[in-house]
Amino acid sequence: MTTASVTYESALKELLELFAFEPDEIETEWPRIKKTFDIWEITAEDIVAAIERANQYYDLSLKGVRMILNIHLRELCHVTLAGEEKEKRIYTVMPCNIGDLITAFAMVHPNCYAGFPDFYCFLTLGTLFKKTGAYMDEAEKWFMYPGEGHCTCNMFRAAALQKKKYPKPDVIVTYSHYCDEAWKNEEFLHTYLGINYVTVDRTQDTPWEHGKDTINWRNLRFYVESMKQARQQMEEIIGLKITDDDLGASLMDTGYYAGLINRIVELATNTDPAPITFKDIVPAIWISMCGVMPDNRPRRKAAIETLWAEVQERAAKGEGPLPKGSPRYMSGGFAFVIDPLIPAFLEEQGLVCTCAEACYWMPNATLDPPMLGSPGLEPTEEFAAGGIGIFEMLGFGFYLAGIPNSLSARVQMVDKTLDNIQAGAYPVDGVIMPGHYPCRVYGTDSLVIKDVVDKKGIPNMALELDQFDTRYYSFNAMRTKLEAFVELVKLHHVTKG
Amino acid sequence: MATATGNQKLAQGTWNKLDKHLQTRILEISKAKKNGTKIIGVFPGDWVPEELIHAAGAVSLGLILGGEPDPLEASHSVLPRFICPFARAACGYGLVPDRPMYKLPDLYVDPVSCQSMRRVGDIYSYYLNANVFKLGIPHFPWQDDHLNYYKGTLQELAKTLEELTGKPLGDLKTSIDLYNRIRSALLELSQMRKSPNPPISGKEFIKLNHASLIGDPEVVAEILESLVQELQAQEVEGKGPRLMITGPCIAQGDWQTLDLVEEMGARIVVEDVVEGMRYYWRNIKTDGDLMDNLAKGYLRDRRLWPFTVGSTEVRSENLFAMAKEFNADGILWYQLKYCECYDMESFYNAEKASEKGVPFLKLQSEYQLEDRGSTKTRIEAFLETIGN
Repeated sequence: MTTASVTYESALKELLELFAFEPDEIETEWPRIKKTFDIWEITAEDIVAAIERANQYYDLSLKGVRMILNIHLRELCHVTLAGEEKEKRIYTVMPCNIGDLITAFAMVHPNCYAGFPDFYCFLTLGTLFKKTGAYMDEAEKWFMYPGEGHCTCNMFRAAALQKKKYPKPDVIVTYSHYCDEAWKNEEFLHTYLGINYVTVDRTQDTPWEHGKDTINWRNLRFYVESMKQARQQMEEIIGLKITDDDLGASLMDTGYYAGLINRIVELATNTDPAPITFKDIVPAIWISMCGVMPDNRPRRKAAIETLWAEVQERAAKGEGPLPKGSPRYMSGGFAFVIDPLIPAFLEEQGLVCTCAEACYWMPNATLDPPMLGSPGLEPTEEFAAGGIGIFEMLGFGFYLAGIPNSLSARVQMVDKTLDNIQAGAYPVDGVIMPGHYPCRVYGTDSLVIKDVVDKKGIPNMALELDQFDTRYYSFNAMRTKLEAFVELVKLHHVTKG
Repeated sequence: MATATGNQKLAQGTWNKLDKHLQTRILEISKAKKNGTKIIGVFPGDWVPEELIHAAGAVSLGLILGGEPDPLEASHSVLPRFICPFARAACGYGLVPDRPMYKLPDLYVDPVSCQSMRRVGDIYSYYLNANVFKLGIPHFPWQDDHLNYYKGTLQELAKTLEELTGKPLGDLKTSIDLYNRIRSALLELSQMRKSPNPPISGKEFIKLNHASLIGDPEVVAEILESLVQELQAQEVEGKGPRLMITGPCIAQGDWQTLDLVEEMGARIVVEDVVEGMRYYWRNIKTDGDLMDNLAKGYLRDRRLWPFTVGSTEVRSENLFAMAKEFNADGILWYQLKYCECYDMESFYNAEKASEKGVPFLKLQSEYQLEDRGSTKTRIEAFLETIGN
């Protein structure tokens, strides 16, 4: 399809078909999608480019992947139109560790939107349409001066709200313990735009090891209390309530979904050829973190079950995107958000990414406590007996999602993940660590994690880039480094014996 | 134009005594360590009650150096650039061989007031295999559950100190009294700068404050009290603009901006910084539950810091109130690069300054000596604006 020959309608139809919209769904959703795209100023040319990018970035022969991208687009519409479609709106922000608490409100109350708007904007407007840069420019003209390493996730939110691209929420739920800047951003949005916010707090003074027996219970209880207070404040502001059972249902639903992701990662790690590469799992992972609106809960279940069935079938047939015996690598740090071109390039060069460092994507792991809602598991009574209530599970869930509470915990996780993988049948030949440079929490660990990997004698490369902002990023500038990484990995694969 | 400090320092004898004490302080601490005394390195921000360390019979050593480019560069082998230069320098000082002070501690207490400071503890733990106690700082100090959490952490710190020293905590009240003497003396000295011709310059005061974090508290208390006596009702003539300096941190050794200000005849009459300096505006109560008093004093009874939730407006009001109280002609915002919360506050305060008609200059630093020329030009222009 060339832009010269295309109409807006034909381009959009092609995009929606690519993203697994059925014909009747295209008809039903068309007005909302068109309206959303008009608000974000997406043109026919943008859509044509997005189709090309989607084909370049993802293995779209997997229907499950296309169904996930379908959900991304639907969530973009939900948040963009939430001002006219919903009476109440609750947003959350990075690191979104109580996404299930937020989305439980939407699950119970049909007049409520709840979600993580920024991320769905990045996954669509950023990754596919490359339209987020202008908002970073706007934020820099406002209270986030350039050159200070402000988090572009926060920058986007500030500008998008200032420009009224998505509606003002009734409340933003933010966090003061993980990212120094997020809640400050919300405070400024309150000052300048009148947006309410509530804050979940904790202190990052203890490492949470992986196991019930090593949790710092004083710290966890403090965190739990903070989450409960946040819940109460949300309820007071929006005038809607949820019960602990509602939260449990939300967690169970996400737990089931995340549990299947874990199984897909395990299969990819332990099969040759790998039936799927990690870059095609990442879009699904972000959904588990960001939460979805109620109509998309059955869709995400269907999507992940479809994907699971597809990869199992491929594994049984000995099929995969790359041939048997291809060199493998692990992706550490931040999974690629706005530019999957890097993992796509590496795959083109013959490298397969089967796993990431983070916890529940950590293959061959025995999770303790087990993930709530994992297939075949009915944990609620078991956890209650162990003194772990639903809010404790919510607190654990953040950790289980792979964002550790301390550098020492992260080092242990990376160490354990690599030991597990290297002891398996298909060890990795390299580790790539895409950072997010303005992230003081996660991005500043990169050289330490590199040191951990170095000590295992595995070729590795840290990439410093901005996961949400491609204004100053050039793939071509990275290309030379990536080619060097490819050579190292291939050499290691051949010589490791 | 006479310089703020003048050529003949008032209370020269006492200043000399302090200089001599500081010159030999690190050697003294090394000897104490060899004799079995435990050394506790404290990263600054005034979150760590040194009273506990003193009561444990250990030596508290403020790790407050900064301003030098070389340790900063050294830190880039373990850290990316994008955290504040003070935190990076703190890591760098631990890595370079020519700063034995940073290798002395048996225990490092790292207050997790922000992600940058948290990272310092992480780096020491991972690369230097250091014994690090992370002291978590909750972000809602007015809430009792947050205060209780912080108090609980102080109790854990006390226990850690007892285990390290092998003996129970001594007389905490005596230790609190000692540090109250230090704070009271610093407050009196600081207040002298309200006068039209303060007997002490901004840099001198900041150096005294730093000295209180490194020196023997008994010696420092005595010296500060002597200075209070000697400088009371004294004046050093100066005509330059009076400035307030504010920012995340003024480290020991980070003198470039202060020197430039004073070289050009202006005077720093008050500062409001979160880290690198001791908070001296309140004392700790000595009646009742002392641990409770320490928790309240160090977490709650203090000016809010930028990482306290909802603090921007209150902090801004305090900033301008303090500037007025000290008759400052303008505000110098000393921004350390990549300190993102302070950077956001600079926007807010620049707006407020404009509304109030208060001259306001934001300077950014990454401890680079080559910034000197451009910084000097900007300060010059700022002072001319105030003069006009």
